[in-house]
Amino acid sequence: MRKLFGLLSLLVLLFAACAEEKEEPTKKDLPTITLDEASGRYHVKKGKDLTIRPVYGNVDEQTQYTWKMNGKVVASTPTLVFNQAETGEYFLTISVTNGGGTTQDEIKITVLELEAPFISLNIPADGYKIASNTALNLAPQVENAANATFQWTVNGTVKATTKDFEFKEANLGTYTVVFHAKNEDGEDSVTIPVQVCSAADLPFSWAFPWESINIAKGRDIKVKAYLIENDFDGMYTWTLDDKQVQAPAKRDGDVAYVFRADKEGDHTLTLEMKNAHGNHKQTFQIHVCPVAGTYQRAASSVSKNNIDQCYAYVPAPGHQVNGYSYGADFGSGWSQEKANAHALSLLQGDGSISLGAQGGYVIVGFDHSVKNSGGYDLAVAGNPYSYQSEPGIVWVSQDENGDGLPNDTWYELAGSEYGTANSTFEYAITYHKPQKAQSAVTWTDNQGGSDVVPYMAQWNKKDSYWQDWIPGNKITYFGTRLADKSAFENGTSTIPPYAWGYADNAGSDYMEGKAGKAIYLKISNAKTWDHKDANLKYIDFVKIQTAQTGWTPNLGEISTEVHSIIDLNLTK
Amino acid sequence: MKKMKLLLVSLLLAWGFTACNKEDVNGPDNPGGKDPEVIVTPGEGVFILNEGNMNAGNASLSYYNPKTKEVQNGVFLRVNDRKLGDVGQSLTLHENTIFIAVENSGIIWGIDKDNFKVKGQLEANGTNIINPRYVHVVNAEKAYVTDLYSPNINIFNPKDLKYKGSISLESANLNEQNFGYYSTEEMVQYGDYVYVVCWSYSRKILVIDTKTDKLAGEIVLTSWQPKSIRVDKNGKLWVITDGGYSYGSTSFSDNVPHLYRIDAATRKIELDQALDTDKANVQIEMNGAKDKLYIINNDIYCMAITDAHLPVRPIIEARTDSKGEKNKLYAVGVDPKNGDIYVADAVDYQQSGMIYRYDVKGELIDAFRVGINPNHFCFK
Repeated sequence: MRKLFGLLSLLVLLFAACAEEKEEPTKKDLPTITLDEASGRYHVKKGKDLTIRPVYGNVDEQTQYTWKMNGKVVASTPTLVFNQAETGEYFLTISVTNGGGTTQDEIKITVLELEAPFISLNIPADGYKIASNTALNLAPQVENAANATFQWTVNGTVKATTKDFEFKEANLGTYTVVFHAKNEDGEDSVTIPVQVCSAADLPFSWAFPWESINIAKGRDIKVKAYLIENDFDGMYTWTLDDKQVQAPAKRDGDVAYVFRADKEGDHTLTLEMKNAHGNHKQTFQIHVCPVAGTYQRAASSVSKNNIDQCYAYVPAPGHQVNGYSYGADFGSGWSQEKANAHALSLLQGDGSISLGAQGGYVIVGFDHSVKNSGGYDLAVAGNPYSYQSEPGIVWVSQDENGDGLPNDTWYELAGSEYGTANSTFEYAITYHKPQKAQSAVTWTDNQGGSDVVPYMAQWNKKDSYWQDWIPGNKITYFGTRLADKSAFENGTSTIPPYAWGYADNAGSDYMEGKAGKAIYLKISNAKTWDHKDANLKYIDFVKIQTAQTGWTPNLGEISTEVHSIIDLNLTK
Repeated sequence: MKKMKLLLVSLLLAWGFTACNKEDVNGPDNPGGKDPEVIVTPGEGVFILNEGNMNAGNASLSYYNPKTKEVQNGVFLRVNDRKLGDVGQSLTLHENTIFIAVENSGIIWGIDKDNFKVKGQLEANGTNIINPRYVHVVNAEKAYVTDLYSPNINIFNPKDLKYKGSISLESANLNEQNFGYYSTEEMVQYGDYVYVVCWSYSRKILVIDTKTDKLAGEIVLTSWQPKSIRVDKNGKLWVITDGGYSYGSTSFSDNVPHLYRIDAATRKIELDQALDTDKANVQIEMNGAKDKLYIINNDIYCMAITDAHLPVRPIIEARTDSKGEKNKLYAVGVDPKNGDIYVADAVDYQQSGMIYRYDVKGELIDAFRVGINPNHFCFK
């Protein structure tokens, strides 16, 4: 019996051993790998840990795990913790080896930039100055704001946790306002000095398109103060050649004077503002020249139909001006003269320039005066389309003092929208130089409007769309604005053309003609400041200026492009 | 789309300041050109549809002979003395006819595959067609047409291109996001059912019963904007979404494409994988044996239908420009006979596109320039 029990025991052991042997083939099947990110594509931000935990099959404690990157073993564990300081794509293989062999899979880890909040806010160089109990609305732009928290402090005390904030204080003094935005990737903050002042301490300011000008005898010109701030019931007085020509009066609409050029010679016009806190003066030098035609330069047999001078290339901020996509990158240190020369070479050759956002302009001239033929006199080539036009207003001028420089009176060439609700005369727009790299350029205008020229990294990765040759921290452009009709829908931008009369605009005057495909313009459409026919017999200078303020998410700002400017009278 | 002058990249580089922008209205279909007579050769050939620029009316058709490597551009105009239209969308070969849907012109042309001559046309006027996108021939007397804006699948007779009516999709609520789109896109057929992906602002696949010409069901995906669909040899539907879009501060959904495998019989989703954020188009193509997928997801990836996931390394990488930015791949086609891979490179959506032809291993065989925004291949 004991023997029998021993035999049975042996059989049981043998059976058990056989049973174990039968399980062996299962263990020797190839390992399986099931990734925790089924597509094999992982994403992580730089400097952050990514833990990859595949699920393995047919494995035991003897199984070997090998993670490799660029041929080097980076881990020998089932789980991998990945962390990289540099953005990019990293390819790793995971090899799993058991007694049955090796199974391998490859994954891709995309390391992304951190997306910390990035604050853009236009802050005056010396901070804000406001009156007691006056609201200062602070509305910063914040990139990567989706999961960010915000905090506003005034002199260290938390006042709000919203993105926008209204600052208002009764007590005079200096306040330090700090805006702070934070998310898991980082934080950003801006400090905004605010001085709450009495009226006497608030800075008075105004702006003017010019301070000296030439005008032919028999004509007139409107002199106007723009962007007046903090005049506090000021009285305005106009004086011409030391004689008061307009009695002191409070501002009621325009602060303006119409100068009539009756007498040749130099005249000094003065505008003075006086209020309880002080007085401010601005003088204008006006040179009344001989009657129009005195300095006309008739075309000769050697005259060219193309421009021969670029006097000023002053583009407003824009992503297409400098460093755009396939375009030129001027680098730092460019001067106004160098920019003018470069623009001229492009316009004379097969190049093209962008005038940037609204107000940006170029002024060019010919080696002769361009006659007013009564028909089409000028051809301005651009790149307009029926679905995307970026109209520019064309201005013309005579060399009224004969000095060869465009320091004379400008006349707008009326287009289809002239005088309609789509045009805003005497428009002034001010761009503020960004304080931070890769941020939008903010603007304000004399209509109470404000917006941005967006930063478009996909088209232009330059740190700033503020041109190096534009001095100062802000620039104001004066002119006429055309209404923005742009639209963005389902990823497509449309900027419809106006009917006729504008550069880079596919209207009825965008046609194939003597100068090729271009916009054909008439000097006879020139208008005076008071919207009358200017009746110019010829012109010497042409200014083209971006007319609209709009932008679309994929195109960026509307910016007039100019390819060439041709005198049709000399074109066969 | 950025307006930009049509110039070769080298010329653009030479410009200095670029003037942003220009479309090409003088593309290969320019009637003022002095193109030689179209050479029509029997046998194999590849049609390439060039979408052109919206509102520019410069869609065009190119034809490539894979044996001689000769490419002829603007063949539709040159043979028929009329323009193809505005926004060429798709090509569909059925027997001897190629149907060309020209979206913004609201027209479907039928041309002879061998001599390129127009055999007929179906215009939107008097029909429920608005912006036709794709054609699927159900049988000898019935073809379906998808549309960007029409809340209908339209039906015509492929024999004579006569309009036959439409299938209302009103009950599918395709405009649920209130963007005004009733966007239906590519179609495939499995048994009696046609599966239609609904692209703009949708995440649905509609099922149409071809026996009744009625909506018979829908499959709702986890990702938005299904763009492309194919059916493999095992009756599995493969679908790719583009996940929406993102332009600066404007976006719709997360812009992360997803790849799906769906059992056509049960309509159950078997695989759902997030791919890389796309910066151009997404598309699925299949080889002749219907056991391999070719997918545009910035580059071209190749995947066997039995693979667990799309490989992480592409079989063909997109070219890059001088600043290291990838060109925009706009279409992929696979020759069903020999597996050659044709890749349409829209470059920057502005200039004439390039076609790159590779063998089945991804080795470059040929490269040639076609019209603007090449977006569809058709193999005869």
